[in-house]
Amino acid sequence: MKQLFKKFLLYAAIVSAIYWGYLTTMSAILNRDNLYKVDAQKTVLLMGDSHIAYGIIDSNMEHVVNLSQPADMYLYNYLKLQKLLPQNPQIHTVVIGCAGHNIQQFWSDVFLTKQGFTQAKVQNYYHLLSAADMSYLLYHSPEQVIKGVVGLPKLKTPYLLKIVRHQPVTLEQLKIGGYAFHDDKLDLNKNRADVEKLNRKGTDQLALWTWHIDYLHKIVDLCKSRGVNVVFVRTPEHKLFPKPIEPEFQKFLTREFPEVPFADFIKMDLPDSCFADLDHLNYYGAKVFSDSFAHFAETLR
Amino acid sequence: MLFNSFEFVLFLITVYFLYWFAFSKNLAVQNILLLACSYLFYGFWDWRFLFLLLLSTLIDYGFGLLVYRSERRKKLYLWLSIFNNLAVLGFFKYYNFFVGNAQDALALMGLHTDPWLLNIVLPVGISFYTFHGMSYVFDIYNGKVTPTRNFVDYAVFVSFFPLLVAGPIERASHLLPQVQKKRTFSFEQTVAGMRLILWGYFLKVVIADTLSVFVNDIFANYKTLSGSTLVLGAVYFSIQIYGDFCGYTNIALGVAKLFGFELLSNFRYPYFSRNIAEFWKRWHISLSSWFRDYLYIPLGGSRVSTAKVVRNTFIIFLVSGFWHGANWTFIAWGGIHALLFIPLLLSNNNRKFTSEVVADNTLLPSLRETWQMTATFALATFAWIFFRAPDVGVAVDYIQHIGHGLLQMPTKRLGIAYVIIPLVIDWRQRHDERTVLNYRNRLVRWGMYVALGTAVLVYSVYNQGTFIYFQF
Repeated sequence: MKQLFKKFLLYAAIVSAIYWGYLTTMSAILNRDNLYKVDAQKTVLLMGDSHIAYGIIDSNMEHVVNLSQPADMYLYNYLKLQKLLPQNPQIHTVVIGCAGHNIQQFWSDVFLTKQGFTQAKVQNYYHLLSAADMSYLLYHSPEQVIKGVVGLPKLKTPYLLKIVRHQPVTLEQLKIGGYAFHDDKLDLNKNRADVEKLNRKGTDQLALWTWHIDYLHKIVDLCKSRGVNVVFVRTPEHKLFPKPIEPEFQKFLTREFPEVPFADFIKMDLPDSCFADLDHLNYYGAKVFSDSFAHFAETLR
Repeated sequence: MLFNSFEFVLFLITVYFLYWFAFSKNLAVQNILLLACSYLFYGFWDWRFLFLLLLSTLIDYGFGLLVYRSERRKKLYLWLSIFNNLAVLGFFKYYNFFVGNAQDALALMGLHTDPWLLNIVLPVGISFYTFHGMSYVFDIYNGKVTPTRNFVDYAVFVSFFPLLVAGPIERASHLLPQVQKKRTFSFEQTVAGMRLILWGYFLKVVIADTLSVFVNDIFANYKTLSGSTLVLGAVYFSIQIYGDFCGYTNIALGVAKLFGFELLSNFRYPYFSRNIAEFWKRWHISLSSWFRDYLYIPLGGSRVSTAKVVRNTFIIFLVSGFWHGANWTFIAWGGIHALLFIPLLLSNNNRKFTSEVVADNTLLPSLRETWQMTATFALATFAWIFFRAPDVGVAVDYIQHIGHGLLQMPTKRLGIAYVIIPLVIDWRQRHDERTVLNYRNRLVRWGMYVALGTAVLVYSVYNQGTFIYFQF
């Protein structure tokens, strides 16, 4: 039995060493310079989560690039910006999504534990995550973090081989972000239940998600330190979407980010057909909203 | 609890330590532990069916004793046992099939009925454990086995967790003595078991589950794909079902070895067969030998007139197909195999390749052997189309579509790698199905352990499909 344990431990050590070697090599390759370069004419960078990823089509705006991604917490946006800003000095403005759900503790569950988001994010950003970030994620979603790390080789190897062979790899292939096509249609019956749930939570929703907000501060500080302007943006939401914390949200912005301009499109009047659900635009909504946003983006040139 | 789930890994480690460290001194307690763990393992699916398993075990245990003790009513008890097992199987597995088909037949005659169809959940592994029970009573009837008085021993034989849900279908004469005998830890047996487990996981998680994505896609969109892609889809399914079922069997055999048990072999590299008869000596051996011993031979086997031999062969293949499920596709699959087997039987070629291994003393097969293996694989693959298709109409349509664009370059070619890799590794170890990954060179051996283990880990994140044979 002793001999068996010895051999098994040796085996586990070899497999772990191979994994460690792979992850280290992968991180080194993915952290190379110039991998995060965007077109030279892109001077305005859109960041955020699904609200921005589904809501703004950047193809018609020559100076704007949308690198947001569904379920991207501010942590991931911050990590991306750390790579993007130094490699793209032409970027003078970062527009980042900011809405009630970004500051409420109430939503942390969705970002951290639901729908396999953490697994996917660990796989996207493993090479950028620090040990402290990793332990935070591991604490909140251990299974997803382990699965994410264990599954990395299958996902990343094709792109790593491309990078090593100096073949072009797009930011989209690296899952850094981009406009995300979403053609769901609003189903009011289905969403009514969500509305009731959101309203029922009442004052519980007032608790702030400080860990998340810290990263928003870090983003703003990073941009400031590089002389890059920051603008907060909020995409349209359906009129039925509950906004029980709206006054607190406004107070939060004035208190914590008094110097950051806030482009608020929440009340933009859009028909039901433009929404995928009560707080996300679908493709048709994104087309309409992107026209309005393009006018706004002109002012950021 | 699936073999390819995290829960099973935890379960196995716990049971293993309890078995060898806490209860290794007392055989009776060890068997009680195995029984309790087997029931826990089964209860993970649906605890309600534990009662069915227990009842079925109790009844066959009782009939075993009755058959043994009674001289006059021996046959009656045997038939009652068969009837009981077939009734359980028939109710849970075939009730709706028979009622639905009777309704269709009556409708053809102009009689419209509204039969009572039941929303029955098929208990996992029912086809396997009822066959265990039946073989036990048969063997007592035939004098091959003496019934055990210890119910726990018998219950472990029926429900030993590695084989409970998808076999191999064990025989009392083989497994029961092992349950009754004290097991001692053996390093060699454990290592052999771990190799089987590793190879089994590789076949299931890396090969079968990856190919299933291609297969599902091709079978769902066969009308829009070229004939060459459809051929590839059928080949992929051949390897998928092999990887899935042989993978499961290897894990079962390996896990049993960890506990000191040797289970019956179920696969002997069937895709290296040189004709269909040899294929059936190598594919799902425990089922085909079960039907041979308890159906074919009692029907007269091949020692009757030619007409009866043909009849018996058809019966055994059709029943074997039907055993897989209540669908005409499985019957068609069995029928095709019968049609492929009978010419060999009538020309006395059915025992041509039963003992030796292909290219036994050479590295590569001869041209003739290559042709024989390719032809057999092609025929088996053709039959698998019926097995995979949702109904016979779709299978026929799929085959018809193969004619369109057969010479085009196929799409979905990435899956070819998942066909080649297992076949190449299997070719190297084709002499012994129970000794896998046993390379003489230590570096190669450990290289394989590490490569396969890493691949299983990586793919396990994405591939967590259930085993195909669980539905049977």
